[in-house]
Amino acid sequence: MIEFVIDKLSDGIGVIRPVGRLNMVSAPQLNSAVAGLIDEGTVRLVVDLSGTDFIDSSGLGALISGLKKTRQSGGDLRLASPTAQITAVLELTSLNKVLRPASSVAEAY
Amino acid sequence: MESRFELESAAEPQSLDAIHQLLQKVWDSAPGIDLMDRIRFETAVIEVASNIIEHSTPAEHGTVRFTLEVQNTPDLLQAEFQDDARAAGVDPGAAVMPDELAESGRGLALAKVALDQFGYARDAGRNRWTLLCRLKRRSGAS
Repeated sequence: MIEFVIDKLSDGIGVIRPVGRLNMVSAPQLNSAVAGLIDEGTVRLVVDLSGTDFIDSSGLGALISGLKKTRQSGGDLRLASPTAQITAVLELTSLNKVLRPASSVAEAY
Repeated sequence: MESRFELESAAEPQSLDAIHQLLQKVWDSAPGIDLMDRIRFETAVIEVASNIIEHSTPAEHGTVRFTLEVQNTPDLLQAEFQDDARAAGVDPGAAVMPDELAESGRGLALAKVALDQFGYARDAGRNRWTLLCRLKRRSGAS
């Protein structure tokens, strides 16, 4: 039910685009996608949420995990283009303070 | 007008898709419900279901099963989960949001802040979870 589209931009930024729902089923796949990019030396990441219909607390946990792992590797993880449900959940959990979303991938860095 | 929707399932991750589909039927039946009210209700329902799926221990052998009943009236959205697992023994009112950099432990706290009322009781050998959202903004509904 979910697909992860991974792309690398010319400036070395890695983009992960989860298409579908980010929940207890798919969150481990996001962790793997982040780990794979870090292993390849891509540590500045953007998670493009424009195709992510729904996120739950497991999905939030995977984003926080990715944030910590990229920072430990000298990079960062930023969010772009959250849908209405994701914006609401980031506000309800106050995670918008640590995962401040940009309005597009291009504006994330 | 009042509508009622029901689901019965094994407590396994695939049941989350069935819950989203059930809620889609609710939204299709009541298109006037504000998007933010839909979002907070659906977010809380999925968190409680995920909690049952992830943390339940079967009372005997086999798989934990649950029922979900959703009701909507012009003023309220209500959901009730019942499951046959061992006592969950949780206090939803005491759920607190963990540290910002915590990678887990947000589920019930997120449900609590999304809802207007969130209850849990052990009742006749079953866990009963009750969720309620008051509809603050409703347009185009009778």
